[in-house]
Amino acid sequence: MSGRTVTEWVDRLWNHKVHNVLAIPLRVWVGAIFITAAWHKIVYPAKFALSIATYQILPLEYINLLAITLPWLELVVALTLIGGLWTRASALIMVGMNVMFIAALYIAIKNQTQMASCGCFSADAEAAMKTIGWDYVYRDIQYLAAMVYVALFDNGWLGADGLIRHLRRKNA
Amino acid sequence: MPLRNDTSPDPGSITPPVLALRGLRRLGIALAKALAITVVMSLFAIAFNAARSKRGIDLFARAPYDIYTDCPEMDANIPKLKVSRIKAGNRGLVLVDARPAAVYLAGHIPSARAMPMYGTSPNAPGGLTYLRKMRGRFIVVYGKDQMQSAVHLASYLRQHSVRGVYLLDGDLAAWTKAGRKLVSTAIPQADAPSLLASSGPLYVDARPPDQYRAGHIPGAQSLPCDGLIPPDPKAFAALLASKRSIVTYGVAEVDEELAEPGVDTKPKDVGRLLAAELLALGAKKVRWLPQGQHAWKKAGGKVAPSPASPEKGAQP
Repeated sequence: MSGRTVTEWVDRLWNHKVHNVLAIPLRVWVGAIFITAAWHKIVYPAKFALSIATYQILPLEYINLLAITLPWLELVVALTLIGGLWTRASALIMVGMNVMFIAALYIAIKNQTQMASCGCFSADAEAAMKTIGWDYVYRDIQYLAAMVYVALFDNGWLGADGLIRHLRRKNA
Repeated sequence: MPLRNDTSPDPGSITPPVLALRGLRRLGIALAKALAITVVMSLFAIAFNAARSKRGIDLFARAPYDIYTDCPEMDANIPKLKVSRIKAGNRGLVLVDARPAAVYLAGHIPSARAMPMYGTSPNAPGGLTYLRKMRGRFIVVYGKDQMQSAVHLASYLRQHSVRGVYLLDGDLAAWTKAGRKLVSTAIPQADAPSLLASSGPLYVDARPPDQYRAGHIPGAQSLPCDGLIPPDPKAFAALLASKRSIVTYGVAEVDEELAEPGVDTKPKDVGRLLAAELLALGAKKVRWLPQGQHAWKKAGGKVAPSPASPEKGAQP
C-alpha cells in the first residue's frame, strides 16, 4: 500500500459522512445531560459554589466566578451541540470541561476529600447525598470520549453548520 | 504512517502534510470559536448574575468557603486587602477596628465598626453574631498596635466561625498615606454642678470594686473598666440597651506597692475609658464626668459607701 493511497484513505475515512450520522446521538446524549446539569446550577448559584468549594482545589476567591460562568457555558454549549451550531467548537469546550471535571474528581478522590456529592447535577450537595467515587470518573470519561469523537469527526453536516454551509453555497 | 513513494505526488493530490495542515487549520478555527463562545458566555453570565435581585452572588468572595480551609491558631495566613480595594459605600465589605475604644473614637476609618480587642477576646456584644451574618462579604480588620490587636482579633474571628476575614494591608498608615480620611467622635463631657442640679441620669462607676465600695455617687452602678480586661459582658450589654442617659465617672487610684515596676502609677480616668467603650459600641446618651468622684465632691455632691455586693451594681 503506497503512502499516497493511505493518506487518501485516511482523508476519506476522516471526512466520511457516516461520522455526521453517528455523532448525532452522541451530541444529543451529552447535550441533554449538560442541559439538565446546568439548570440547577443557574437557578442556585450559591449552592453550586458551595459544591465547588468542597473540592478544595480552586482558590477561594474564584469559586463564585466559576459558579456563575460555568453553568451558562454548559447550557449554551449543550444547546449548540445538539443544534449542530459551531459543532467542533462546542465539542472542544465540552472536552475541556470534561477534562476539568475528571481532574477535579481524581484529585478529590485521591485526597479523600469529604464530599456529600460531586455537585455535577443537583446543585444542592446535601440533597444528592451520594458520595463521590470512581464511577463518577468513568461516567465523565464516557462523555469525554463522545465529545472527542464529535470534535474529530463531526463537521456539523447534520445540523445548523451544515445548513449554513448549504445556504452559503446556494447563494454563492 | 507508511513511507511515501519516491515518486512526486500529483499537483493537487492529498499528501500527509496537506492532510495535517488541513486538520490543524480546522482545529485552530474551532479553538478560536470555542474561546469566543467561552468569553461571550462568561460575560453574559456575569451580567446576568449582576442583574439578579435575589439569587445573585458576589463575583469574588472567600466567605463562606474558607470554612473548608484550616483554621490557623494565630495570624499565619490571614490574607490582606489593599487600601485601593476599599471604596466608599461598598456594601460587600465590613471594616472592623480592633484598637481600644478611645483610640477608635479619636480617629477611625469611616463606617468602621469598633471591636476593641483585649488580651484574648474582644469586647463586642453581638459583634460576632453580626459578623457571622456577613457571609460573602470581606471582613477587613485593622488596628495595628503594640499588642498586634488587628492580628489577634482577625485570628479570634476566624476561630469563631467568622469567614472572609482579611487584614488591611499596611493598616491605618497605608490608609492615611493614600490620602483617605479618618473620622473622629468626641466624648461628650458632663459637669458636676449641672449634674447635681439635674436628676435622672444613670451613674456608672468605672473604678475597681474596692474603690467603688469605699464611696461612690448614690445610686451609681459599678462596672469596672481598666482598659486591660473587657468590662463585664452582661452589665455592659445592659448598658448598651438602656435608653437612659448615662454618666460614667471614676478616677482610679493605682496602688504603688502593688503596681509592677515600670507601670504608670498615676491615677487613671477610667470613667473616660468606659464612656469611650460605650460610645464606640453604639450607645447614644453617654457622657463622661472628668475628674470623676473628685469633681463630684468638689461641686458639693455626696458620696455613699456601698454596703454589699459592690461588683454587681443596680442594673440600668
